[in-house]
Amino acid sequence: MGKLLEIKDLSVEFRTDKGIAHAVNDVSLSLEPGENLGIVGESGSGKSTLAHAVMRLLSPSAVITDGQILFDGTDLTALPEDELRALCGRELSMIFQDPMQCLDPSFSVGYQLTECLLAHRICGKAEAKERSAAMLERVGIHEAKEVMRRYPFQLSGGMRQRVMIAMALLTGPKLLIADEPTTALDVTIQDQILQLLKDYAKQEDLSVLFITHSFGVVADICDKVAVLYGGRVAEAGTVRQLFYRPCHPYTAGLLNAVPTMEHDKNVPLQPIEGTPVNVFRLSEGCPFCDRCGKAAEICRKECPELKEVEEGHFAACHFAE
Amino acid sequence: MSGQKRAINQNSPLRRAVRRYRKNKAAMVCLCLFLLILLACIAAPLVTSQDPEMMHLDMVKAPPSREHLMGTDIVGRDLFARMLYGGRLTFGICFTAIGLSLFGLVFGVLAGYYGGRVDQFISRANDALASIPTFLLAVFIEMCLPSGQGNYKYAIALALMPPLVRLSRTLVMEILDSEYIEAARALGVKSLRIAGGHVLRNISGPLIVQVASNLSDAILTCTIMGYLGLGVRMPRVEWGTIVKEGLQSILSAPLQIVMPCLVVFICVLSINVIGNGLRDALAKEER
Repeated sequence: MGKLLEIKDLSVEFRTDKGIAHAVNDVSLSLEPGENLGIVGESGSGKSTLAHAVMRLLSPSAVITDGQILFDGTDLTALPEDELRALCGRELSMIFQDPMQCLDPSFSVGYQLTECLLAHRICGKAEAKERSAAMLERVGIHEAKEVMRRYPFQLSGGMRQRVMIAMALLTGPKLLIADEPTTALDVTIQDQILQLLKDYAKQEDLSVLFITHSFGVVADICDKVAVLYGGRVAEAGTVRQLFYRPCHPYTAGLLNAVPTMEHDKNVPLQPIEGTPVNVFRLSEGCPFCDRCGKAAEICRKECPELKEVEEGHFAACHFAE
Repeated sequence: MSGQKRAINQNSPLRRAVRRYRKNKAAMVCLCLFLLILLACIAAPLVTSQDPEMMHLDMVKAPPSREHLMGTDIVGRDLFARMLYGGRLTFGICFTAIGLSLFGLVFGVLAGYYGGRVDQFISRANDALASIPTFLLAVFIEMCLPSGQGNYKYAIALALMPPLVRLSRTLVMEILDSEYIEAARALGVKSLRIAGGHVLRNISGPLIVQVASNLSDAILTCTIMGYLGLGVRMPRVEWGTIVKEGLQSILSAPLQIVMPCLVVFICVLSINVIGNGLRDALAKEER
């Protein structure tokens, strides 16, 4: 089976007044059709930059210095703008972090939903309305026809995120990039939205690239997971492999920091000491070495390559086994 | 169902803005006042039967009466009629200037949209334009073009452009940065459609307010031009020239200068209050 999305050796830099920020360095990832991949990392680890690079929504100061992004075999980084836009929304779609900001306050929900269908000339106006209403019902909004006449300010956060999801799925894309879609929502709504995405992906054979900082979310809906640190892949593998056998100290540290139901409240949670790596000044060594308990001489001198510790499970650590 | 439909459609941003504006009493009063003056000027021949150029030499500097609502001037011309017909020209000049100044929007939007060198060039040219005093520009234009025909409207138009360019540039930059534009781009909506739909609709509010305040500036400048003798030549009149003529009889018939000034004052004041009302009505939605 061919790969749906393949990111090869991607590097992205931000050229700012303060210097060059190496946001993404040599990241390689792949996604099979129908598979859900979670990308986990703390703030500034480059996960959002990665997502934006795929859709080519990076700010003008960002430059893709190296690598390819292959979608169904076409290199998105080399595609002319208009062809890329024709692909976006139709074949690959994106939902964003903050549903409050993502809907245009000046237009009704119905207008914004049908806009995508009309922009791609998928169908006529009447049919676009029908389809939008059907999609709204599908993402769990009742009285869809009425909601379509409303304006974003009349909807709750959860509703808006549902509308965003409906918008993204309306054209029947093969790949959905979800950039922290639940971060801005409260916990009960988070769960509903995740369940919705999970069910939809299963039914429609949709692949989801799920960007999040929560392992709980990953465990819930993803098949595979990649952990980013300092713009590099620290560890990648199936959810099961990473959860039961984390090989990178950073992954292990992240998992230790997640509270569980059985957690003894007298034992404090274990944070990862130190602060995230400064992407303006990356050293030659492993980006995690300053915070790593296992760090040795070699870690400061040489950046570890990703190596396969078991089938389909990769880790970038000199001591991984 | 149809009743329900209407109830929801009433929540469009425009409808809500209109509703908020109507709640603002001062703004409503001023809107009526301004429209009254504007319509009276446009329909001048219907409002007064007096000829603005007819000199009633037998009743020079007459006080207001039923026949001459604002009295007559130093050569016996009916001031009320002169104000109405003069207003036609003043409004004509001002609205033309406003219309011409809207070309500034094109430059502002281009600068905001493309940024970089285009922005640098347009912004610096705009700064240069803003640094030229309006009246100097007007004198220059009156010198170059046939004078006495209100050609200073081009000077007014040029003077009104810089704030519009600046405002539209910032607004476009702000909107392009917003996440809903990013979302629209992610969904494959084309640039032109984004510019014509989302950007235009979201920048229109503040621009309308700016244009309203530009109108009051235009009327004031226009009147001052006339007063300084840069205005249109006789026998055509506009408010500025009427004020100037009134100056000649400031001691013997003070109403001849007070009345025109009062009308200009009311006009400018009401436009400013209308502008304030619009600003409040079109203000961004609080979440």
